[in-house]
Amino acid sequence: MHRWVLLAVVIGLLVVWEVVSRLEWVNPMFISRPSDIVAALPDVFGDEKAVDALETTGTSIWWAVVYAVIAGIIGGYLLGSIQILRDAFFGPVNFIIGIPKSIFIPIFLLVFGINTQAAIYYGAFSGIFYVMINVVSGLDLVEDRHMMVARAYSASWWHRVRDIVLPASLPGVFAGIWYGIKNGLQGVLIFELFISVGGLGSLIKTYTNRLEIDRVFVVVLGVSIVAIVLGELWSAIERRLSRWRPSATASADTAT
Amino acid sequence: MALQAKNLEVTYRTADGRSVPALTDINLDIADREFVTIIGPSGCGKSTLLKCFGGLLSPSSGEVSVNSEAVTEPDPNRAAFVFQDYTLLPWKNVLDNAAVGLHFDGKSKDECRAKGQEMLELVGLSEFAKQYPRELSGGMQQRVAVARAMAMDPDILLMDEPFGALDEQTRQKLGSEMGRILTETERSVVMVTHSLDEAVFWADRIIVLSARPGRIAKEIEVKAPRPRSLSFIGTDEFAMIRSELFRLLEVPSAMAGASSTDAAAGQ
Repeated sequence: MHRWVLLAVVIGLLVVWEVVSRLEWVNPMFISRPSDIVAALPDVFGDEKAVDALETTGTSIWWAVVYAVIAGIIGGYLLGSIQILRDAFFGPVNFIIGIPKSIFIPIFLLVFGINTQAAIYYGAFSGIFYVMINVVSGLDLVEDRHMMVARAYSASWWHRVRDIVLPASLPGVFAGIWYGIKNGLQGVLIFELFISVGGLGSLIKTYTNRLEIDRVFVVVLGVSIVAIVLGELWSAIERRLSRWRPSATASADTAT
Repeated sequence: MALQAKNLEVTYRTADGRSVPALTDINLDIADREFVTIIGPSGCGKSTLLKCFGGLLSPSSGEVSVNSEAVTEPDPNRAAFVFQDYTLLPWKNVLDNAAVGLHFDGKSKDECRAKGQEMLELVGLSEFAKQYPRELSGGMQQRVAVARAMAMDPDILLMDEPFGALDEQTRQKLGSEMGRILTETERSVVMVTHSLDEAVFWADRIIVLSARPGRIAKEIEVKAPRPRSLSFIGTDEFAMIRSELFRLLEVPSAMAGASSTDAAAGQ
C-alpha cells in the first residue's frame, strides 16, 4: 500500500513537471521536462566526455570515502578511548561539522592545485569528521557490565577490544561509514562543481552553461541512482553484520 | 577450606574526601562443597563482599584466599562469577557465550565448542546453542550465565543475586533446577540474595550482614540435606529460619541485638 502511494506521488510530480513546462508556466529552458530528459539519455551516454566524467568521479568518490572512513575510524577510536584527546579535540570536531565545509575549498586549491587529487582530499575532508563523531558515539555504547564480565573472566587487552569494544561499538561505526560515504560523495561533487577539474560536477556546470538542462538532469538522475544503490548496498551489509541486534530482525519471541 | 576471608575491610572514599566504611571485620571460612548464602539489608555491602572474594575489588585491609592462595585479581578458574544483570554478550550466540571464558583463556575453537556444549547440556539449553541471547527469556539467559561460569571448572561459584531480575514463578522453577545442578557439580557456592526464601532454600549456611558498615551479624546453619525439593519450603526448619531472618532484617533493633550478643559471646 505504502509503496503504491509513493509511486503515485512520484508519477504525479513528473506529470505536473511535464505540464508546467509544456504550458510554459515556467520557462522550459530552465527546468526542461521529463520527456526531454528521457530523450537526452542516449545523448549523454553516447557522449565520450560524460563517460569519462563518470569514471573520474567514481574513482574520486571511492578514494575520498576510503580515506575518510579509514582515517575517521582510527581517529574516532583514539578520540573516544583517550580522555585527554577527547577533551582536546571533540569540541573542534563538532565545530567543523557545524560549518559549511565548502569555505575550505580555496585552501584545498592552494595546497593541492587544480586537479582531481584535490577533489579526492576535499571529499575525504568532508566525510572524515562525520565518521569520527559516529565512532565516538559508538564507543559510548560499550557497556560497563560487559567490561566487568571481561575482567571477571580475565580477558586480555586484545580480547576486550576484539570481543567487546569492537562489536559493541559497531552500530556507531556503521553509521559513521554511511555518513562518510554520503558526505564524501557530496564533497567530491561539490568540488568538481566549483572547480573545473573534470568529473560529473564539472560536466553539470558545462551542460548548464550551454543551457542543456535536459542533460543536466540526466547526470543528476545518474548521481542519485548511484547514491541510492550505494545506500541500499550498505544497509544490506549492515543488516548482515548486526544480526544479533534486537532491531536487526524482528524475531525475538522465544518463551521460557 | 575453599575460601577464607581474614579481617576483611572495605572503605570507600567519597568525592569530598571522606572515607566511608562499607564492610568491616569480615572473617569467614567456606568449606569445600559448602553452599553459603549472604543476605542483608540493601546497601550493606553484599555485592562488594562478593567482588572481594572474586578479586574484582581489592579490600582496603585484610585478605582473601582460595585454597590457601591469596586472591589479588580475578581468576575464573579459581572463582567464577554469575552476575545479577543480563551480562551475556549479545553479539555472540549462546554456545560462544557459554564458552567465552575459555575463549578469553586462549583455548582452541574445538575445545571451546565441546566444553560449551557440555555445559549447555548441563543447564538444559543445548538445543539453543546457535541462538542469540535476545532470543532467550531472562531465566534462560541466566542459565547460560551459570554455564559460562561452570565452564571454567572453578573451585568456587560466586553468584550475585543471579535470579534477582526474574519474576517469582520463573525464579522458583529455576531455583529447584539450579539446586540440582549446583549440588551435582559438588562445588563451593557463595550466593548473594535479597530473598529470604532463596537464602534459606539453597544454603548450608546463611550469613546475615548488618546495615552499613556491613559486618557479619549472624551465621545460621541449615541442616536439611541438599539438594532439596520444593517441599522443603513447607517444613518447620524452613519456617523457623525464615522467620528468624525476617526478624533480623526487618526489625532494626533485632540486628543490633544480634551483633552485640555475638560480640559479648566472643569476649
